[in-house]
Amino acid sequence: MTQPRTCCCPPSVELRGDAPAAAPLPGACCAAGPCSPSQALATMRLTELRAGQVATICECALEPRDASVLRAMGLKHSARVRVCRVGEPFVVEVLFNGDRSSGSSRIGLARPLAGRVMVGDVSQA
Amino acid sequence: MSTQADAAAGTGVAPVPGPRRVALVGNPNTGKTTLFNRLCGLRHKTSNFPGTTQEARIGAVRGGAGPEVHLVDLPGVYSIELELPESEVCRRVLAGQLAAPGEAPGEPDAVCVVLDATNLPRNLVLAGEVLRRRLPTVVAVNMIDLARRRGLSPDAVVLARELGCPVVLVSARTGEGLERPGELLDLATIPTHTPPGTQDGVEAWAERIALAALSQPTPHAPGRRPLSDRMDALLLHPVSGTLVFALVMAGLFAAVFKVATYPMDWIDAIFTHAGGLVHAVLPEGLLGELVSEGVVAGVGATVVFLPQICLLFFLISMLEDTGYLARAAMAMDRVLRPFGLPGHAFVPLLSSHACALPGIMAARGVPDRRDRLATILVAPFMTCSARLPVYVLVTGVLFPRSPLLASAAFVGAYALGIVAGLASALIARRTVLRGPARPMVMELPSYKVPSLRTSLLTTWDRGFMFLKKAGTNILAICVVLWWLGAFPHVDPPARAVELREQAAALVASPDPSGPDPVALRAEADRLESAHAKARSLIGRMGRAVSPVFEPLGCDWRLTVGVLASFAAREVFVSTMAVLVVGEEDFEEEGVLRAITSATRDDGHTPVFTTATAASILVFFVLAMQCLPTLVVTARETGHSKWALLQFGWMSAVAYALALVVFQGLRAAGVS
Repeated sequence: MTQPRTCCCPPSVELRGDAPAAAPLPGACCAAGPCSPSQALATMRLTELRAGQVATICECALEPRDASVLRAMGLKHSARVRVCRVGEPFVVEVLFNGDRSSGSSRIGLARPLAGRVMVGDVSQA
Repeated sequence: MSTQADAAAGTGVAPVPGPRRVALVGNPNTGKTTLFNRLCGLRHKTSNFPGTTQEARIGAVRGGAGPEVHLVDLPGVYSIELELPESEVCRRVLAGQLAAPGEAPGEPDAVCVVLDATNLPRNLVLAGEVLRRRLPTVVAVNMIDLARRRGLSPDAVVLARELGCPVVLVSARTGEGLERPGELLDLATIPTHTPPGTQDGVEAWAERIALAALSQPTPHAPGRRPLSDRMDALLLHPVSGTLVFALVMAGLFAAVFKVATYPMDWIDAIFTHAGGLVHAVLPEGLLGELVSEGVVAGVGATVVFLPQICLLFFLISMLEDTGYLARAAMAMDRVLRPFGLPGHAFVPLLSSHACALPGIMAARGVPDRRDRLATILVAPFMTCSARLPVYVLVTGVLFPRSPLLASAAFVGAYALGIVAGLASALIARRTVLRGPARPMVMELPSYKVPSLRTSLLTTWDRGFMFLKKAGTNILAICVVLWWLGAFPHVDPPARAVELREQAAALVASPDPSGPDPVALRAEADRLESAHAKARSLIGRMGRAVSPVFEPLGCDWRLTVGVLASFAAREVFVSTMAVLVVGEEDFEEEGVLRAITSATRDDGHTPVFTTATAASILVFFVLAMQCLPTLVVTARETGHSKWALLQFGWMSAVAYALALVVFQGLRAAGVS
């Protein structure tokens, strides 16, 4: 499992090896140094959102195989998601182009899995 | 098909003559199967890709300008580059390293990529992965009717220009864009562009094309909560979701066991009539006995369950098509997880209530290997339709005058199978399959009105498979059992000879105060048949093995029935029918009644006492008695050790519990 990313840098940007796992500082995760203010996000777990809130995925702190499946399903870095249902299961809608007007897909996740997805840039739908 | 013409024109390349083999590729939930059914109808066959556990459906498409097309339906995948079995099958088929059974090896002549019009950006990533392979390709943008209702209008010409291959807007559900199905596949051309080679690159490429093709999206009015959210809130809620689930399942099984009764009665009547016809037409002798006692009675006792199987698959297919089944699987995750099974196991376990074979094959949808193995190992504990004849027979014996108690016993048998399956899964996950559980993730398809056509075609497919099994394996077992029961010929017992002589004398000189000659002949028939069966090869085999099953209350006939059922449990009633028919007048009272009223060799003890019936019921609920299931388990798990474990565990549990039930009832004074 990788350390959670606390910014919206692309996955290709290397993570700091000593990035703190608990309460990480926003944007202090990249090996190349702190990110710009626009990249650094106040990240939180997906499960901390309320139904109806929209957020950007910053990191899926999962086994590579699981992360690649989620990525293929659209749950990838910088994807916008809307929370449809909280609890068990946790349901999100993956939005294209920031809203539902250009298409979307709905994904159900076990709550422990949703808890490993870090998001930022939270807004109300 | 103006959209086709426009889209083809957009590429600047003229369509090439129709290919011979076309691979159908797409994400799950894109309506790929509906499109396959629309293109092929009943002209398809189902098998497995060689050396894999992935189902291969190959259909024939007619109506195009070129030669007939063989359409190969590949597994639904989110990406062909993932390290998942279904992705590997797609990769190998497209690379020409794997061909469907009966198809020549080599790359497919063309590919048809199915996209979901309501979710183009993600679907286009898969299209990009396929287009990189430079095979003649046509893209079908499916569910265009649903997309339009959501205000989405993808532009086929823009898509064709950007993708570099023909694009057709279709609705497999309504047939829009598919007026001449064969023409769709004739359009495939080698793509004029090559998408980027990296994952980041192809994702950005897909988003750019989707944006261009959806240049005028209709903004959604903010405020009102979407209907899907409200439906999910209801169906996934711990209380309301469970209530709806219970109602849906109750409705499903009520339909299966109530509605199916009528066609079952018709089939039973047809076979009974056929038995009588055979008696009337064929001369007395071996051939007549073989056909009436072996084939008609044996196969008829199995085929009578066809309506239940068809109805169950029809309803499951309809439920799946509405989008509810995926929600039920998500909701069941919290129920199954404590037993070490994921919510993905719900559909395989539900399907196993019709037949364990499709249930085990449906376990391919369980992504984690340990979860999948656990699901496969316990799926045969679910009450399949093959057990139903035994339940009907035995619950009728247990509670002959109380249909309510008989129904309760029936439900109890179902519950026992589920509890045993869940307990076994827990034991397996704590021992041979120990390891961390993988959290569940699943796409929840859009809610929609189910396609009757798709459900009917699925029902036809599964029903045909069942009939094929009845016409091959079960027929063969019935004939072998009849042969084992008919040979060697023995002289009739002295008492039977005496009764016949007495009957003949009464016919020659009638005595109104004497016994009825017809009844005397019937008694002679019963004695002769019992004498012959007891001394037949099967009788000797039953006697040799009966010490093993005597502690469960079985006589030699039941022992033979149980042994024969290890090949296929639905053979039990057929076997008992073959063993009892001849001793009892089944044409008058029906096969089931003849079996339940049959007596043991002493002439007065019933074959099925109360304690024996209860023991047999428990044994059949829990025992692994299906050779095809073991074969499929070995094939699906990739190793025969799992099939042997399944057989050993289920047989041991069944024997132990049946022994406890029989001996417990005997100790309590119930004979």
